[in-house]
Amino acid sequence: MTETLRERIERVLPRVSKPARYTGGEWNAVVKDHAAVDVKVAWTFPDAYEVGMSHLGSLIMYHQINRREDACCERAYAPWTDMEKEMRAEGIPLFTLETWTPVRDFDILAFPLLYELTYTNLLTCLDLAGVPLCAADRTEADPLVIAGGPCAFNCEPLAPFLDVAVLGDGEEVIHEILDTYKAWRDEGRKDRRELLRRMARITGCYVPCLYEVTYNPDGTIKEYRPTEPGVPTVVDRATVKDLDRIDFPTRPVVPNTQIVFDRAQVEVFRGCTRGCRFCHAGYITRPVRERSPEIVQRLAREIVQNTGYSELSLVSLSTADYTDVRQTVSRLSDELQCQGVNVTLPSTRVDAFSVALADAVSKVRKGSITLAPEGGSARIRRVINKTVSDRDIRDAMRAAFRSGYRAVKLYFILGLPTETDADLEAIAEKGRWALEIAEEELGRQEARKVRVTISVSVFVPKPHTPFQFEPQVRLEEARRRQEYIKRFLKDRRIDYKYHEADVSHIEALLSLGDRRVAGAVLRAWQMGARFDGWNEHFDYNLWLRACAEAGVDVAFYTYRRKGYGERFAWDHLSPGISREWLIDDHRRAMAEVEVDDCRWENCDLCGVCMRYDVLPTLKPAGFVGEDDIAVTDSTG
Amino acid sequence: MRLRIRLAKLGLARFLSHLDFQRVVERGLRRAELPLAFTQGFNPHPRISYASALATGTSSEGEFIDVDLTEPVEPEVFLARANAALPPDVRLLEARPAPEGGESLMALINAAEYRLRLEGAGEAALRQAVDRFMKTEHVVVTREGPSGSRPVDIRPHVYRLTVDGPGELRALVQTGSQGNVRPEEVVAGLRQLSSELAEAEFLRAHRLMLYRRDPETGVCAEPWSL
Repeated sequence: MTETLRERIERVLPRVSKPARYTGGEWNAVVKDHAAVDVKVAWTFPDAYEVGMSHLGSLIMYHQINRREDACCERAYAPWTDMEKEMRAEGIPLFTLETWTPVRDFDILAFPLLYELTYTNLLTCLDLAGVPLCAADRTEADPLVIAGGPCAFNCEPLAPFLDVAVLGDGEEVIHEILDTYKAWRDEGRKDRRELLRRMARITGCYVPCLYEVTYNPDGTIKEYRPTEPGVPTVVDRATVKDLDRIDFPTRPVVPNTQIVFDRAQVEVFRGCTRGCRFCHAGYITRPVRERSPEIVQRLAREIVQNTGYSELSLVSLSTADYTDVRQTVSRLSDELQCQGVNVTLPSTRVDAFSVALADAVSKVRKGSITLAPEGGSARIRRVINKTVSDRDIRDAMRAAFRSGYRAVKLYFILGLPTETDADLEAIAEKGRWALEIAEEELGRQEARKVRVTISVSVFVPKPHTPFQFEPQVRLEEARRRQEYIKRFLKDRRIDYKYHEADVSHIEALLSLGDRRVAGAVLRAWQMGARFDGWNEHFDYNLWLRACAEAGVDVAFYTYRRKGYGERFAWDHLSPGISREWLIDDHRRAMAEVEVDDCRWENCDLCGVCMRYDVLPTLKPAGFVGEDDIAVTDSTG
Repeated sequence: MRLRIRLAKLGLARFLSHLDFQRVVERGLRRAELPLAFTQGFNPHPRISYASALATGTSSEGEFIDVDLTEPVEPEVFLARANAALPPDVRLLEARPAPEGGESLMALINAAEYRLRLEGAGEAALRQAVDRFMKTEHVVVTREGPSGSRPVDIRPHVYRLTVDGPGELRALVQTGSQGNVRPEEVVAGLRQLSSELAEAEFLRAHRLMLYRRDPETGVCAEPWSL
């Protein structure tokens, strides 16, 4: 008797770490009869289960597909290295957790791309699935390989491996994709290229193989040209105009094992127009579209009911900016408290209001509060348009100690454009400020217990941002700056952490890379690169060898200042912001001039609203109730 | 009101760690909208206490929990509602009112019964090994711990060991705060005593029941009336 796939999986599980990653069987997982659906999608997250299960976008898309009667969506995740080894030894293909079906048997393989250092895992998943790595080698019998998420806006380093990349909000465009696939399949599943041609006609869908790239003698890109009529020169992103009209998952899959964000999540708005110039998300998700407070509250209640979570998080790129944040938080907090459920906010804006807000919802023992000034000096914060003043920072620290926090985490970016040693000293200075303020507020005795963490990451220039023209700071210089900051941090109450600069260097390569970089991704994977985003797996020298073998000059992509006229690998993948605006904003950055947030101030003509006929939508509270929580804007 | 409940951890749910299992049970009971009593303090949690941690990879039909409720619920109603809100591989099997003023489950339990399955072990060889095992005074195996491995004599803590069928053993061993004999240690002990078992593959352990064993008489009582 031959062993079934499930039996083989069960046999290897006792030998691997965290076997609950691979068993499925979670509450709210959707199991459908494959014979009763027309289109089957394997949602394949190219990272570990505990990361993939934390991704709200994946939960949203799982719901969007499964709510169709004619479709099913099942989940697969990149197996950890020990599991990959077992799967290869036992001939176990990549399988879905819902039904232990080989991923290869699905019509569509969908990869969310959230982080460049998961690219090698994507290749692992394709390979374990038994799907040809290169799109060009796939036939009508192979699944359609699609990818979406933030990194899709420059997916060129993955171009040879993807059939379709989806730009923008997925909730509506996925249905067009499924319908288009069905129609092609119903016509006899003939001619894969015809399917790709049809996909290319959907707004938001980019089909890399339908473009020809030419290069200049200096190695820069000359041109991207569609190779067939009907294929757009520039691919526009898919945009959801009104979140209130979009179905949000109220029965999300509840993990059995610990994941990174193990809580209920409700998205209160999408997009952010604060305009922090380093922030990729802030430019590809414009404009702000809020969900109505009544709907947020209804969703929150239903999700808590349907999951049994003890924590509910109101998520967005900056939740303190949600128009009705006070009342929504206060109502939900009051209502859910009696069910033993805490309401939390994922991040804290750097000002006293936000600290007070975080404090008001914090029912848990006062742990640490995280503030992200990003830039040390007021000058560099003007360069990056992080519009918080020194006073805001001090007020936020003061409010934190006053409301009982004894640990403050401060996040900064190193290697920002125009950065000098004075800006680095200003980072260290913020740590000393925190201690001074703690002593003023708490007295010398109590202030001895205070812990300040200064966490510094290395700046990675991102496509579609005003800093896309900027080089990354050289690796050795990044390391010197990391050490330089340390010199100014002598107090033992300050804990100084910095991210590995070599990881950021490869992240920059994959963020800014073009099609030629795909060869390095493939080579690195062949040489054994896996889970590159995990420190225990990342191997910088392996990547350098892979790049050398693939003929990829890392410095060309990462250390070179690019001209305003240069044609980038992502110029045909549009989030809607005009090149002219990005140039203007880069000039403003160099002049240390800030721009306003168009939610509350003048429109800066970034171009997104006009291009996609979508407007910023703020959904204010209906009235100001007495149940407003006490949050003060000043520290008095 | 306090209910004492026997649970099963079946199928693929056996790969959940004890912490995962607790999480799954808690979330299920929350979803079932039962009148759970919560702990006081900043981070309230339902008052659920567990008898004993079960090793990852071991299935069970003999787990016990005590659940505190703010108002009385009929045991059958509790079971029906909780089971409707739990994944199919985690089942509540039996519920009874917990005895008043008794000791905590964790303090009560000191023995566990397992069914062990081995592949490639002839029944005769198995019987002979079990026979030797029970007649020997010391069976020293290596116990893997967080701080390295050390030798332990498990023999005094294996109370009963029988062959139930081809490749199938039943073992009553010490468990709980005084000490824990792991199923794989029993198998390791048997292998030492019989070269014929060296090739046998230890497939699965399944916990059948937890007991309070009287050290004097050896009499075992199920946790219901204690």
